[in-house]
Amino acid sequence: MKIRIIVIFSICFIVSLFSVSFGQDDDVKARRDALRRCRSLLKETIKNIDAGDYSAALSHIDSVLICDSGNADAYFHKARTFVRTGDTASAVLTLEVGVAKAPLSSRNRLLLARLKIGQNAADKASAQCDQVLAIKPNLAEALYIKGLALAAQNDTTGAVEYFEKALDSQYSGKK
Amino acid sequence: MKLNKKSAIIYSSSVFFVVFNMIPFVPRVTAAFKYLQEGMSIPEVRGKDVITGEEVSSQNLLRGNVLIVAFWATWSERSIMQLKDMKEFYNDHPDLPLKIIAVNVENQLITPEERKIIESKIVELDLPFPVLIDDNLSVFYEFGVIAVPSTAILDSTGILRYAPSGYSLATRDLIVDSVEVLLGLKKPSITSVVKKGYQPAQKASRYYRLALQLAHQRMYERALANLEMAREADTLFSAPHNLRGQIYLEIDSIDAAVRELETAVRLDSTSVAARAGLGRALLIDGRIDDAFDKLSALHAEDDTYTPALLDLALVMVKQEKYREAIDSLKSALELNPRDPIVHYYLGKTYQQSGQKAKALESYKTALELIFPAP
Repeated sequence: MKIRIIVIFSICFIVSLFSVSFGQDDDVKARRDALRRCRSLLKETIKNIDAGDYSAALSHIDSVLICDSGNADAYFHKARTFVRTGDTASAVLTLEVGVAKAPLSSRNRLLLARLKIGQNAADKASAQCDQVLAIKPNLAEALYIKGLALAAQNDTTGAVEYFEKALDSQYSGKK
Repeated sequence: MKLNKKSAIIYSSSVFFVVFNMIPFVPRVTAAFKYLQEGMSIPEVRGKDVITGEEVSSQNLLRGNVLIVAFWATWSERSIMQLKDMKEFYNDHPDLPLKIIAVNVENQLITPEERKIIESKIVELDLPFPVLIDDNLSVFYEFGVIAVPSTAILDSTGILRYAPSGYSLATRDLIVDSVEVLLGLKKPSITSVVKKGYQPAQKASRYYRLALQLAHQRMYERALANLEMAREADTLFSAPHNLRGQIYLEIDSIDAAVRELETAVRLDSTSVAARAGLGRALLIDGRIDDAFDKLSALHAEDDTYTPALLDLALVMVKQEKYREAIDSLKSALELNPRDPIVHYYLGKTYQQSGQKAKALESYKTALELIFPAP
């Protein structure tokens, strides 16, 4: 009798576990599908950009951002598309949103820094580079763009120092 | 026949005069490719013709023909000169069993704008032979191209017989001469550059080619294992020793690198890549004077091999010969103006010699090449 109770109780317990997980599964599945769609849209975007089809790229990117508004790569590629079409102002605005939504993306910060240098805002560019270097002190691209920002501010000594660090980290151990 | 003193002087002066004037025409050691040498077969070159879209393969084009594979880029004036000369030669001799493939090595990642520039240059040149674009520079790395332009000239059996780097009027004449010799239109003369080279056993070649691919992917242990098998399959094949030396340098086993490169040079004293590699190994090992001797001797024979020019410059910097180092690096830049490493070391040399503004420009150029604007 006791054994029967134990067995029935175990079966009920196991069935209840399954029913809870099936309930969760639908949400997880939906989220997974959405992310999969985003990833494939992003791949399409990159193909569009490489092929020079910028309007298709922007359309795909906007769809990505609808399903994943914090997607750092989407902001990067959207900005890249604007840069390719010569619309630097839109690229900067995109990246500013992107940096706010995904502050750990060094790629977005560095592209923003580059564009800020072009807008004669080298101090802001420098600040973006500092944010990246605080986490990744040996990132060659960040050191390079910091050097560009310093060169734009006529700090030749500083620029040379950062350029050298960037190249040393790129070629460390080669010679 | 006895000569009196006056006749002897005239005779020996004449001989000296003739020999002295022949010296510029005696073929020098040259190397366009780090991983290939005369006597070897080349990796297959295949792709789509940019204009016709047809599939092109070096294996298909060879079939009894002499084949020229020319590496070029729109940013290299000498490349464009070479393509125009090759077009003229090809059009002037339509019945010769000669095929040409031009491989564009513009950049690691070609943007759509760069692709348009390449395509419009090809249309402008109106070349009568296939032109491929080497996306990701995979063929470039497989050959170990040193400078742009570089040329591979293969005989009708697919063996590499001459591989000049750079291009000048003299190179043009040597290329034409080598094609004529390979086509049997004339006999090789003292000034001919066509080399038989050492033809390794097929098995050894296969292991070597596999090792090269593994080494490019930094799978050094497996690459070394394949090179050992290449060596066992053909103990006289020097290229595996050269590649082993290069790998040992990458993994900081300097003594082993020096040993392998010395073996490579002993097996093939004409191998520019092995001699340059040995110079580099000695430099890294701190044997500056030995490195200087090896590299300057090589430079005297071949002033177009960029890795040797770089290392020679580094040796000169260590010897505080900054002006000579800068000259060496500028020569390297003429051969390949888009090599970021050359700009990097030029920057370092300027900096060490107190020329900060020039150092800044050189560093900036190097970094622009590594991190192009998106």
